[in-house]
Amino acid sequence: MPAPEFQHLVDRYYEPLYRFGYSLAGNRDDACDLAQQTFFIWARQGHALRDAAKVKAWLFTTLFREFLKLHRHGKRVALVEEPDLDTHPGDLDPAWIGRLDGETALEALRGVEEIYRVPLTLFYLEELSYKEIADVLGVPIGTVMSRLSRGKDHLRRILNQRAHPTTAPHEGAKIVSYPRAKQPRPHHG
Amino acid sequence: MDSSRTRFLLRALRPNGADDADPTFREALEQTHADPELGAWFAQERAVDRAFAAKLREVRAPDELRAQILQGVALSRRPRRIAVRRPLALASLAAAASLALLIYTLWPVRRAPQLSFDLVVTAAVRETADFAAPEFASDSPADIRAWFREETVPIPGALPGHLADQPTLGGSIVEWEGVRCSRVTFSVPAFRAGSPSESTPEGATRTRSDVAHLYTVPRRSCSSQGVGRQPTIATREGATIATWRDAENYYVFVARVSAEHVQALLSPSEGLARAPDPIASRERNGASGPPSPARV
Repeated sequence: MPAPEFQHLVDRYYEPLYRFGYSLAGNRDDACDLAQQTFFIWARQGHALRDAAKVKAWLFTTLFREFLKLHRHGKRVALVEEPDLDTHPGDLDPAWIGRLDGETALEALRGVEEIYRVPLTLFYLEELSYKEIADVLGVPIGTVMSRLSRGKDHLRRILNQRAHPTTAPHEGAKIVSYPRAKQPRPHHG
Repeated sequence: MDSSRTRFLLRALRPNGADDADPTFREALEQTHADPELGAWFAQERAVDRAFAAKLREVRAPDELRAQILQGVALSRRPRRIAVRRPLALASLAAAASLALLIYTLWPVRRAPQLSFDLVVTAAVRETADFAAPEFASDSPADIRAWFREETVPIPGALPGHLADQPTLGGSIVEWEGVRCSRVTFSVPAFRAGSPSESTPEGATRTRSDVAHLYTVPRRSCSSQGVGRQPTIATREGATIATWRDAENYYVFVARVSAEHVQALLSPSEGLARAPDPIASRERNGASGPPSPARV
């Protein structure tokens, strides 16, 4: 069996990493794979990390890189920031959010464009500071703050649509479709 | 700092308060106390963030994930599902598996040794320093073999010299480093005379000198060099040891007699007092003439 330190590391982080993976990949199987792969890489390479305080950021960074390797293979996905949206996303009632279930909340998060969703998920997981999120993504701190702010606006628009489905979206605001249903795969043969 | 800049900064504050002591946010947080409108906005912002973060925490990983992670790392292999999604990785994995299977099939003697033969000899000598009653007491070699078969421990094959003709006291199972081995305990009448064990205290259940043990160790679980098919005799710690092998097993014979006694027992040409065993004789197909390898 792995060393107790490793088991402790798994106990502490496997669930946040799973949630992060779920948010990135959008399904449980891939989220499990990403979490497993992350710890597997840690078991092989973790000894090279000299600063114990950076273990957490290392794990999230590794999972994110594994996600990019798995899901960007053979295709290029442009991560282009959208221009600022002038419209106010509207107020949300925290009590209404409290009545959602976790899967629905995650589904709403999945509706946010990926460039904002990644830092936003890390933010809501509350494991990493904005500085550590910048390290994970390899972007400047200011960029993380900017993406968090825009990502929050995106998420709130999505949630507001859910809370008030008959309300017409603000003119000029981009409403990301919600929920994002998976397209069934065609059967061959 | 203007209000929009303050709000921009405060939106990066984690809702659990983990960043509240960060100097980057000090001024912005102070403004939330001085500006009621900003304070109300921040309170609403945090309430929404906290509610959403709490919802994310409700998403639970599958029950089996933790065990899968620990097991996967313990086995030191890549998670299967990831490899399957990568054609190149899958091809590499298949090639590696084929090679491993080929080596495993063609080179069975050296695969995954778990036990050092030297350790076996050392342990056998020390274990037999004192007489220990066999777990399965029997004077029937056939019954001992049947018991070994039931216990799925190695069964001795053909034995050299006159060993198979000696009366048995029983069988035992020993386990070293997780490898299960068998032990047959013999009573060798010829060992009683002129042996070092004459000093054995009176009244002992059995003198040490006439008791001998044969350990059978599966070759697939043991690494060894230089153990031949013919018995090699040596002495160690007051015991005489003979070692040899056949296709399936290594053998360690231990007795508290002189090397000459053991030599006489294991050599087909040496004359030795026997106590013929009818079962062993039957298993040798009624062999007559020069002693040939026989089973216990």
